Amino acid sequence: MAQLVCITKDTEKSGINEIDDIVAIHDDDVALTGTGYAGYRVIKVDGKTCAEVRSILSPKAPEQKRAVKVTSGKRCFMEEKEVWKNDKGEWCDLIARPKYSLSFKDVSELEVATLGDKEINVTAKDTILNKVVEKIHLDEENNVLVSDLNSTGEIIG
Amino acid sequence: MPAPVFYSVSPFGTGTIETGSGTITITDGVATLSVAQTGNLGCGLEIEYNSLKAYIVPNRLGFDSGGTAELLVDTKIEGGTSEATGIVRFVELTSGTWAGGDAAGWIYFEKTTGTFQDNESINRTKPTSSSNIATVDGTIEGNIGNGNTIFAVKTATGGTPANQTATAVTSIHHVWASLSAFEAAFTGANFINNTNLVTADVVAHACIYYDHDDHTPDSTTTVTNWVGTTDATRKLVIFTPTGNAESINNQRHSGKWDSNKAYTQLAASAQFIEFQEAFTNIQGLQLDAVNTTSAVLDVDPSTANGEYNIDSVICKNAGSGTYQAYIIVADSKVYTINVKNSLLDGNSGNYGKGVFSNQASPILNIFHCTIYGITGNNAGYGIGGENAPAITATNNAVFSNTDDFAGNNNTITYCASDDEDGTNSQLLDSSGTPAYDTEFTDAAGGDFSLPEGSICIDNGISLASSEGIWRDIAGNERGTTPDIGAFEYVAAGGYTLTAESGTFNLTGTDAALLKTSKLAAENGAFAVAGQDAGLLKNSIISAQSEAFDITGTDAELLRSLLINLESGEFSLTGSDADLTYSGSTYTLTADSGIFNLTGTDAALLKSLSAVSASDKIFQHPFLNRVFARQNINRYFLGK
Repeated sequence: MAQLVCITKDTEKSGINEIDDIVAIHDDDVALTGTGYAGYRVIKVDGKTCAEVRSILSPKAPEQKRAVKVTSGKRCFMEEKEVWKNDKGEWCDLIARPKYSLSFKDVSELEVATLGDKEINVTAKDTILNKVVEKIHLDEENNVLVSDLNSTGEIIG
Repeated sequence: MPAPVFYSVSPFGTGTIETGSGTITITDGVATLSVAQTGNLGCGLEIEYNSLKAYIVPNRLGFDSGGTAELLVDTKIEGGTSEATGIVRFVELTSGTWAGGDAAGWIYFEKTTGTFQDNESINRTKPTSSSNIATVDGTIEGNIGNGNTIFAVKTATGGTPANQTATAVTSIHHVWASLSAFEAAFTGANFINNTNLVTADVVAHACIYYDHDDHTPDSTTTVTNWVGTTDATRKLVIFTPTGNAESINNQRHSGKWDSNKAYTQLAASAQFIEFQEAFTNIQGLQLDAVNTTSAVLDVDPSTANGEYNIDSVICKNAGSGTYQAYIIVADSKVYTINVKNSLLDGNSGNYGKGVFSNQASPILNIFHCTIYGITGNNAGYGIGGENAPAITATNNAVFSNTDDFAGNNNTITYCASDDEDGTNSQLLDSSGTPAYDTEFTDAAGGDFSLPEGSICIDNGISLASSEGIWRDIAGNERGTTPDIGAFEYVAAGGYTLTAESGTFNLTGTDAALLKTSKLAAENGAFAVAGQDAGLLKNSIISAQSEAFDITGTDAELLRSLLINLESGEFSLTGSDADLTYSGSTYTLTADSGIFNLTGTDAALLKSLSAVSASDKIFQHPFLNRVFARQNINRYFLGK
C-alpha cells in the first residue's frame, strides 16, 4: 500500500503551497503518525506500492529544459531561463515553478476513499490517480510562449 | 539569545523505536528513562508521555563566568583541569553577554571525551586557542552514547518541559519521514509556531537519520522557502548527527559515499534545496542526483546579505539534466556562500558544472573541496563562473573535469588540479592504473582520501584562524599545514578494533585480528550487512551493533585464514566434501550435497589450498585466480 502525504489547512502557506499538494510518497511500512503528521492528510492507496504510484504520477510532469541565449552588445552575457512544453508541443516560459508539482485538488473525497478500499480493483484506482493534477500549467504566468525561441535563442537539450 | 530546537527526520518513519516499555522522569530539562535505549535515536526524536511531548537534544554542559571571547559552534574546547574535550554543536545563552564577560548558558555537544569538572575553566583549542573562555557550571547532562538512559530535552519551541515523575512513556519516535514533510510543517502550530525564526528566537535543527530498518533513502522533493525569516543567529541547520554526544549511532558518511548512512535520493525534477531564506546551513549530507535533472543546491535568496554554509556534503550522480550543477549561485543579490570540506563526484550532463556562479554580486568561497569528473559537453566546469563573479577557491582538489577552473575573477590559491591553475598550485599526476592512484586512494571508485605520497599532503594553507576550518570531511583534525582537498591524510597505523557504544565482546580461544585478511566475492551479489558494518582500511571488518552478515555468491574471507580449534566441538559443513592427496598437497573440495568436518581439535593441515563450496568455481587464494571446477588439480602460473 502506498501513502501520499498532502498539504492541509494546517500546513498551507499562501503563495507557497496549496491544500492537496502532494509533499511525499511512501510505502506502508513507513509510519506517518504523531505530531509531525498532524498537519497533513495521508491518502492511502491500497494494492499499490510507492513505486507503482510514482510510475503513474511522474509522467505527468511536462518536459522541462533550460534555455540559453548570448546577448550582444559591448559585453557579451549569457542568459538562461527555464522553459516547459505544453500539451500542444509549444515551449513556454517557466516563471512560477510550483513548490509541489502534483495536487489531489481534482480528486473527490469519494475517490480518495476508493483509493483506500481494498475491495476496489487497481484499474479503478489507476483511473483516480490519473486525476492528480500537474500544476505548472495552472499558473497563467507559465503559459506565455517563448517568443524569441527561434529568432535569437535556442533550446539546448 | 536564541534557543535551539531539534527535530528528527528518518525515512524509517514515525513508528516507535523505544526500547522496552519504561517510564520517564524529567527534572529541570533532564529526562531519565527507566529503560536504557538501544535504537537508532538521539537528538531530535520526540518522546511522548502522558499526552505531552519532549524533544531530545545533544548532551550539554552548563557554563557561567564567561570570558569575552565568544564560544562558537564548530569549535573544540578542553577542560582546564580535567582535559576533557568537546566539539560544540550549539551554544545557548541564558543570561549575560560575551561582551560583558558574564555569559552563562549551555554548551550542546557534537562529541565529548573525558569528564568535565564543575567549576573548572574552559579553554578553546580549535580552530584557535583561547584560555578561560568560560567556567563549567555542573556536569554533563545527558548520556547519549554512554548509557543512553539520560537525555537532555526541550519542548517544541525550545523551552524546558515540565517536570515529570515516573510517567509511562507512550513512544519514542522520529518526527518526520522526509525532509520535505519537515520543511512544510516545522514552523506550524505544533512546533515553532512561527515562520519567523527571528521572532521565535530559535535556531531550528533538522537532524537527518538513516533508515535503520532497510536503509531506504529519503526521496524528498525540493526543500525550498517556507516564507520564513532568518538572521545570522536564528537560522535553519540541516545536519546528520555523528554519534557520541548527539545520537547513539553515527548517521554520517565518513567522507566516502555510504548508502548505510543518511542519504537523500532526490525525486524527479527535485532540487535538494533552493536556498531562499537568508541564512541556512547544511552539514554532513549525502545527495544522490540520479533521478533529477535540476540543480542540487540552488542558492536563490529572497533577501540580500545572507550567508549559506555547505559543509561536509557529498553529491554524486548528476548528469541527466542540461545545465545541471551541484551548487549554483544564480541570484544577483549580495550574499555569501561558503562551501567547505565537500565532495562533488561526477557530472556528465551537457553544460554540467560542479560549483558555478553567473552573478557578480554574490561572494562564493570554496575551501577544501574535492571536485572530480565534471565532464559534460559545453561546460564541464569543476569550479566556474560567468559574468565576473567573485569566487575564492583555496585548498581544493579539482581534477578530471573538462575544465577544472573556468571563467574570470576567480582567486585560486593552494589548489591541486590537472593543469596547476592559480597560485601556489599543485599538479596532480593522472598517470597510473587506476588514474590518479598516487594522489587519491580510488578516485574512480569515489574514495578521495589521500594515500601516502600524494601531492595534496601538506601543500595547503591553514584556514583555521581565517575561516575556522580545523577538520576534514571525515572529522579528522587538520594539520598546521593542511592537505589540499576534502581529506586530511591519516597515516596508516596498526589495527584498530573499536566500538562506538554499547557492549562489545571479542571472544573465543586464541581470538585474533589478523593481518592480510581479504574480503572478496567471486561473482554475484555481495553485501556486508549490519548496523555500521564496514570494511575499513587496514582490513578491519566491524559492526557497531545488531546483526552482522557476510552474504553473497562465493563470498569468502581469503588469504592466511586459519581454521583452528584448540578444544570443544567443531564442525565445518558443506557439500560433498572430499579431502584428496596428490603429491604433497591436500585439497579439500565439495561439489554438492552435505559436507561435514567435525571433531575436537579438528585441524586442516599441510599445504591446504582452499576451501570452497561452489558448484562450479574454485578460487586459489595464493594464485588469486578463479578456475572452472573441472580445471582444478592442474598447474597454473600465478598472475
